[in-house]
Amino acid sequence: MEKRSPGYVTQLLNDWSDGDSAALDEIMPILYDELRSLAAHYLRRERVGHTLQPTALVHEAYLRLVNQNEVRWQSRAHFFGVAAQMMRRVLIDHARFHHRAKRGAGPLKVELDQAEELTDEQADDIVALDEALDALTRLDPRKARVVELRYFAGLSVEETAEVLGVSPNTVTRDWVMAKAWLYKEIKGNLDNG
Amino acid sequence: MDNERWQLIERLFHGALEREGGDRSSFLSEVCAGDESLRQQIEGLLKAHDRAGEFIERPPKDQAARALCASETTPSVNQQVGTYVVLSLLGKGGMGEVYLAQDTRLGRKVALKFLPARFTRNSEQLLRFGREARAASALNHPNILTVHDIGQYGTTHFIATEYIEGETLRERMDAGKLDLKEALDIAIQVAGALAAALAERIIHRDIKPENIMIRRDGYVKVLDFGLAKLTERQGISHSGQALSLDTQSGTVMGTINYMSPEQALGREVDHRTDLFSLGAVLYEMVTGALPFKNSTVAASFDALLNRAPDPVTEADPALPMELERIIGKALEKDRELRYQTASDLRGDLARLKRDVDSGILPVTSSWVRFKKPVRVGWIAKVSAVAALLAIVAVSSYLLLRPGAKTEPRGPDWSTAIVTPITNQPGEELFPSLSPDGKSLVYASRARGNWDIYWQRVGGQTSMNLTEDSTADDNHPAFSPDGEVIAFRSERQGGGIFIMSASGENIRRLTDPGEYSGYNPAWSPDGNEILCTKARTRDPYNRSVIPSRLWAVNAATGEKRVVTEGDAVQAAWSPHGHRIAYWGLQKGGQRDLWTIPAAGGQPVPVTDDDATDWNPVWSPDGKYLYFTSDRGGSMNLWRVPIEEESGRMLGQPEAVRTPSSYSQHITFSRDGRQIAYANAFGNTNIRRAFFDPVRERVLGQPIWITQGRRQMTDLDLSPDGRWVVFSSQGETQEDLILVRRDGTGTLRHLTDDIHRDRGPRFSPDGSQVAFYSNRGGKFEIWTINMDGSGLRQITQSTTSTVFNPVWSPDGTGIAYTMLRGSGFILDLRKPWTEQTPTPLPPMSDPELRLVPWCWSPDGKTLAGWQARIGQPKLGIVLYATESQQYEKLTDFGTRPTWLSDNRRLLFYDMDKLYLLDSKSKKVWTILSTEPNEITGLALVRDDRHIYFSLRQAEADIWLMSLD
Repeated sequence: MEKRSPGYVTQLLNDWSDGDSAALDEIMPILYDELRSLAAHYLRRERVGHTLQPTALVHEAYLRLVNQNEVRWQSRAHFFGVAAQMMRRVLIDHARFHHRAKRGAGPLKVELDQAEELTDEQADDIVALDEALDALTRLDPRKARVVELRYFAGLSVEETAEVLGVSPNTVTRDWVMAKAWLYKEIKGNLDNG
Repeated sequence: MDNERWQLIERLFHGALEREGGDRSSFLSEVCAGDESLRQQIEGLLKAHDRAGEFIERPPKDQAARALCASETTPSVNQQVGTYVVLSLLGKGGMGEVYLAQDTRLGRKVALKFLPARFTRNSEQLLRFGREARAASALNHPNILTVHDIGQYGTTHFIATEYIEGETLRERMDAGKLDLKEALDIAIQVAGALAAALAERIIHRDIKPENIMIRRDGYVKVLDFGLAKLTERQGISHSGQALSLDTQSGTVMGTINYMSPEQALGREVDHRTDLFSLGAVLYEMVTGALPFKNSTVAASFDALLNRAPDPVTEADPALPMELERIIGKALEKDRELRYQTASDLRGDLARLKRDVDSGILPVTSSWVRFKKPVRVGWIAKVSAVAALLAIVAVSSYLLLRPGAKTEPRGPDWSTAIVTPITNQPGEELFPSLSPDGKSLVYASRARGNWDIYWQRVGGQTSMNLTEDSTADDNHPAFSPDGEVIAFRSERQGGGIFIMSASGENIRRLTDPGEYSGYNPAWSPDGNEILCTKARTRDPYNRSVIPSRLWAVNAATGEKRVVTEGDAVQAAWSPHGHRIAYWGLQKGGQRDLWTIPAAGGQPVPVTDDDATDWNPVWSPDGKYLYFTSDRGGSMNLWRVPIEEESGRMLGQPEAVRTPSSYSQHITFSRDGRQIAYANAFGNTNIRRAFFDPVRERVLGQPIWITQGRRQMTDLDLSPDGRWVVFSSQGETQEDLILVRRDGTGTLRHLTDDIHRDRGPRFSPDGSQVAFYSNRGGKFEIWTINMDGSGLRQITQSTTSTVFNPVWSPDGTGIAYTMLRGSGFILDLRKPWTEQTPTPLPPMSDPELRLVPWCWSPDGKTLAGWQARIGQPKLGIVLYATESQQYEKLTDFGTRPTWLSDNRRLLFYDMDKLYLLDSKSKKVWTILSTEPNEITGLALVRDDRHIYFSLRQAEADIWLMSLD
């Protein structure tokens, strides 16, 4: 079966939900490739002046990769969970690379063109958010997951609730608390600010 | 911040958000009730809430798209990559794309290998890649492909190596059969490469025909040293994220053809794995077939683990017998029986080639070796960390494993299917199977505090039964009818509680205080519950000694004492006759006993040096199962026993699990399933900045080492440049040096089968003293910093000697004798002229001082007070002139002097403390909760603290005969 066909990925997702962890190993590169090709497509459209679609990349990848009629909700939850982590990882790597490239560290100086369009400030923000999220994970893992799913994967409150198996109300409360906590953690002492 | 406080803050934060203005501030005054820090935290959050605005509200879609597009850059022809210009694509493989390129600086051709991003996606992997690649680049040998450079293009990492024109051994074999001389010649060159790598302590891990290049002139080059490490499966990440993010599919299965058994099982490998793989390659070269290849992966796996390959002489009777012997030795499943070094293998191959070349080669006889199952005892030693993931894939193949025949009466667990039931980060402990074996409960700290979780066997999700309580809940035990669960809870003062199997109707059974009880165990009729005074987790982690054992009526709460003697982790026999337990003997020995259920005379089950604990009866009452280290690792054992009398009917026998540390045994009622907690984890070294004036740790400690080993017992060189530590928990325990910032390779000071522990630098930094069993039992030894001059210092005839402590002038060493006191010896005299000075007895003759650190002025020895067989009892000073002891604390271990001769650092469990020896004041300066500190050292300027930290992991595994 064609690897990127919806039937195949759906089967893998269902296998994974059933406890076959090797299935995840197969899903990862497929998802990654799909996200990359979507991203390339997206950037091309942006350059020629198309209006940007409001849906997040992860959503589009999901719609393209997964057969909606056959997938179970647990598998759907797993999919978004892993996609959110992947997006976080990709962004952090990119931000860190931006820093390294700017400093010219390492055995080789790399031209900055791939890292362009990411400002120092943006890169700093992403790295700071990543670190603060790690700290939040230690305090309250579910809140960190809420942020990961909403921010990095672009899921709605309802979708996040479904992934985490909690009520939308809980997600909203978690979000409000996590956002305030992260903001405080990143921006430091607010009395002077 | 603890969980309770965090939840409180969250509740009050939301409460405050619902109110405005004066309402809000009066709400805060009321609920914070003078707790200023609480109020500040909430107000800080409210302020942040007001200001956060659009913060993280919009997913970074543009940035994400750019990051994705930039993340895996592959070059095109004529593209400049650093100092290289890409010329053409040479090939694609599992490890990425390889390009031919021109080095514009040095004007030579190179091969650039681009690693797929999935191998370098997390920072630990990347760090490891850098370390391995740098180490490999140090290899300078004609048979090893030279690594010129490592670098980065975009976010893709690449390696620049010498460019070889030739073909891989795979291509060569595909082209036609190799003759014996050619095969031997290739194997000899590969063995030479491995010998050079061993000298640099580099393991290849993936020797196979695809990684062996044959140059046109016949020179053989081995590729990709150390790279295989990148594709190894990772353990569960510390951050608790999904466990397989960094893995690729089929790692274990994909290349199993050349893997050693220990590698296929995910056990930690050493250089001998490469010798096995080379044996497999040689086998294929001379026979055209793979030694363990079978029609299915399962059958191949079984063959690799359990069967000797067909003799090469069977495939081709013209092959020399000596070749058969050499390949057989390289393919030994037990690496202790294999060739021990590549040089030995190379030597044998070279001699054979000489004889073949000269035509004096012995003719093959008709001798045929029969294929037969081999013993599988070593499987029990599988490193659990890696095995966890490997076993998930292979557990079903273990079914095929032929079992060693033992007692005919007991079930043969060697044929059991073993599967992990839980795999959350952190520890899952104390499983209790429901009588029908369909579900289990266990304790876990996944949500911050210990809770009882319920899970269906074979299911994926667990249910927290004690979510409502923020107090710790632990030690769950299903009642014999499976209807209710008894457990220990710290709620409301602590005690044994009972709840329904669904977590409802929680009721208290025992009152707080002397008889509150731990580790509950049911009587088979469900009427009584055994409790012990001590809280017990494992042989070295238990409270109060001696511990009383009593039974509580599950309905009325009425209690009766079974024994006052030391008794913990009790288990009732299935027909109600006896109770088994373990306890501490005088002298620290941990042994098993049984006692009549009504009380009476205990009958010993074990009485030897092995640590025996956690007894559990088989449901038919014919065996007592227990945990013991008598086989080397902490594994399951059983002994046939008469249930009525407690009489032993045979010798203890091993019940092998694939875990390196099995504990907390539980049976299903039909005796066909055992669940247990498989404990593993790692100990790594961290560094913290310390301000000795303000007496504070500054910032977050950073990791100096990262890995799966147990790196403990650390010390610092006097110049602060080197950290020495002991790598423990393996059959081999070595002393290893690492640079103070963790960079560079690890340098082995010792590297052999002996256990080397407790390294301490001499005051001049030239030597390390340590204790080691290399002479038979533990004695003090010294070795020079460069690994030379190994010397035995103590030669005690009576007892084990440990913990060497240098005097500040380097002329003396203090040490401790097991079950004895501390001594000081004069290093300037040989042992035969020594009269080691014993430290004077303490006021309580049961107590003794274990010396640990000499004050820089040489006047005071700091150590801890111990009672024989008991935990540490606090920090004590010994003034060498006045010969007086002074007790400073009631807890803590390994006191380490600051340079002012006044203050000391020490630790206890998960806290680091500072102690003023004059005022006896103690402060906590660092908490590492919930991870335990296992070692401590301080740089002489007092500004850097190094400590080793144990990160515990334990999962519940199930062995099933069905």
